[in-house]
Amino acid sequence: MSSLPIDLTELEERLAKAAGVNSRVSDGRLELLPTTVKEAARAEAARGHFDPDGSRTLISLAAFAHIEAPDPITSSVKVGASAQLADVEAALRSAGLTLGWLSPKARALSVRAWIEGPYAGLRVIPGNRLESAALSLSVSLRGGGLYQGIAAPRSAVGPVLEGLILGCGGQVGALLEVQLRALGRPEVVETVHAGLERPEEVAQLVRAALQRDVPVVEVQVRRKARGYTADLVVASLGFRASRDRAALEQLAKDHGELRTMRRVEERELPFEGELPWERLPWAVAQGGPLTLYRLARESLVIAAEGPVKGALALDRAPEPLPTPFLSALALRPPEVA
Amino acid sequence: MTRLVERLPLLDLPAPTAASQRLCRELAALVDGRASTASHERALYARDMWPKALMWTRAGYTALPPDVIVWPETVEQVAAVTRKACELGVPLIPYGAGSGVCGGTIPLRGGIVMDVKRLSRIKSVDPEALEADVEAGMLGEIFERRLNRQGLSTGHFPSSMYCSTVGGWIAARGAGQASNRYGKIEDMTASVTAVDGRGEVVVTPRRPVPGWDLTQLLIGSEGALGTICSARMHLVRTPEARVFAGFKFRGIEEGTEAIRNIFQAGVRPAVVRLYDPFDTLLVGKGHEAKPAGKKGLLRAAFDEKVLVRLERLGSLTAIGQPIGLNRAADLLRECLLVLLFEGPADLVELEAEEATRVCLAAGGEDRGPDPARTWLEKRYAVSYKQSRVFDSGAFVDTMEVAATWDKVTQVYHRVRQAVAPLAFVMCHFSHAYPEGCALYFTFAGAAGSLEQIEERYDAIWRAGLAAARSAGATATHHHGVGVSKLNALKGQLGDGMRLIQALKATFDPKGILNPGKLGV
Repeated sequence: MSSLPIDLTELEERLAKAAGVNSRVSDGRLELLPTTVKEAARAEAARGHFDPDGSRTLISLAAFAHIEAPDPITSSVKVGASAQLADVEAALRSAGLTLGWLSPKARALSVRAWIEGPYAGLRVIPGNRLESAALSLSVSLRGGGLYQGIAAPRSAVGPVLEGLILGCGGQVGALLEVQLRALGRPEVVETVHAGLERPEEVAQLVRAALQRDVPVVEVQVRRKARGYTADLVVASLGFRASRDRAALEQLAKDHGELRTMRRVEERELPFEGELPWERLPWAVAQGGPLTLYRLARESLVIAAEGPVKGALALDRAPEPLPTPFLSALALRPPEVA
Repeated sequence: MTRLVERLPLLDLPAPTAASQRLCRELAALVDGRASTASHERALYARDMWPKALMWTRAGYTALPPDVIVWPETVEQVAAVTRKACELGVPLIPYGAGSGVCGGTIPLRGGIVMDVKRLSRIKSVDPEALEADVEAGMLGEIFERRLNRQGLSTGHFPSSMYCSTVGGWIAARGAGQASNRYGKIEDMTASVTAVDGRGEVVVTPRRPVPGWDLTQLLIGSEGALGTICSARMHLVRTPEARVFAGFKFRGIEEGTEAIRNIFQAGVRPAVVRLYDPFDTLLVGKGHEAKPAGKKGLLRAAFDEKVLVRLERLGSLTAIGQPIGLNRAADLLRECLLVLLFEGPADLVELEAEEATRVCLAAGGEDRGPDPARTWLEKRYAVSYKQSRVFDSGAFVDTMEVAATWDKVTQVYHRVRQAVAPLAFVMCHFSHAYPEGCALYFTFAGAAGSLEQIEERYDAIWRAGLAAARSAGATATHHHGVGVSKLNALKGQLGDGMRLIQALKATFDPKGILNPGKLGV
């Protein structure tokens, strides 16, 4: 400690006193180590006050990696945002629950990266709608303050403020804890194998299945010597599994040719992007192997060997929030404990 | 004590000032002459369907009226009016059909009310993508009827269907009766076109979005961030088949457990409504033979004749001293659950079978399809009965909150307990999700003078919202904030109000849009 520049020592003293959190110095920066959401909010407020540009202070969120026991009553699980999705999914599996059918790259993320990054913590729910997995969020706001959403399935309390957090790269603040919604784990996962002549037919078949309320969760598309093959994975709850398979088989016949069912091996492709539906035929026509995930009426996630035109890459940095908005956020004097 | 919303004698409305008449002329030039300062129109646009304002109207009072009303017909006209308001620093309040029940359109500081009902075109329908571009002033029932001709539907059926607009649905973040299957309005809106407080047209991007989700930020903005002019909506196909079901449970605990199990089993009825015991008595009277014996006597005590009396002067004493009625309701136990399944024919039968299995396992008694059929026939009727209550000198209002399943019954009991000394209270549970549901409370009360009525009405809301919030519920599920829940908004959002303030500073830097709403 004595080897530190005096101003850093002073900074540590002031910040630690103001925030009431543990701290340490690492690589010439002061690292604050909050362990609760309130400590994190105080640390953020203190940093805003004593180190406004944040260049000398780091707030470690490593402590926010906990995973509570899944709650079957609310079909949810409370987790720290630094937890890994794979660990969350494992915990949910033991309770017969799941976050949903996520793409391989999404599954490899932390909760924070999944929610704050371009995946925006979205998954498909029955009805083929996109829904945020976050039932409630705790965010330590830039410049001080704590936003704690109420855990309620929906609300009408003003704008959907999660629109400032999901997919926004933590620009309004640091995501600390999340109560994640879970879904009942599919009991039957089957694959229907279809042969289709044209790229448009691939898109039409998939959309028709969704509109017919068939829970298609993944589609692997390949170009063949003549036309295309689509392996459609359908993940159903037990009471409707036979119906879902039969409905999908009928649709495959209506749009092309139903082929022998076979098991599909998961494959991970280097690129994942979010694609509007109207671009799908074009992407299929390019001929490379594709896998489609998060098949919702709003958009889909496409995995491919390389970037797909029209798809928003899901490993990019989110766009900056408008300057007037960020300025307005920072206008308020920070609250120092 | 200063009121958030002032009331004035209706017959003593101040005449339009020279300044407002000048403003009216300037605005008229922007909207093909459709602007007015006429007293009767200013009085009409001084309120929406907020029950407190209805009570004022009955007693000869009004909220502060706007100075001018304008009726633009295009987005460009909306933008021009907004630019003028911004230039002059005059409040501008977007207005749809005025069916809001929270006072969201009341012009707290006067100014211009901009009625967007003339923006009522369906600009395009894409039956393949199941989407439509529709203007904000389109009335819900007309929109639905036109879509139905093409085998399409919004999937959005608020009880205000005949008197609410698409823009109002979005601005208030509403929900329809079939939200269980089709979602709330935030689930149905792909993009909106709005005019912000500077008069600039904002078209929110559709997914994929590269940063903030602007569509979601304008949904629920209650006219304080922008005037919604049109929206790209997701549609559904009209259902191939419907299956109706009804079950009786021995209490709300059993009934809510059944709903939770239905949704967590992956079954998605379009409509789910569990009525608490007294509400069950009310809805049950329409489609069931009266049972004999003690139950019959009890039911008779609340039968049509009594209910009618409740709405008239003879009931004022009872509603005005509601403890007795609430205690009587406490003696009741039976709860009716109404379920309606719709969608592909091969699926709805399976869903109904699975739900039946779940309900029976939870202790439910199968009451057949009639309760749900009757509900469907009368689905829009209940709101229109409220005027009879107001006519009698009593008042009725509704409070809809939402909570996760672990808190739902606690919210129910706490709100009933808190409000019981002040009003007769009943509730139904609807808008269900795997994680929780909405609780829809109906309060009926009465008091002597207008001042006493106001005092009682405000006390009911304070007690009801405080109880709901203390039990972990959100302050509103689909009616929005308006003026009636402003304090609850601030309480619920806490430091999150900073985000609202920053949004306001971004989209409406001069603060002209519906000032005072959303706490900004």
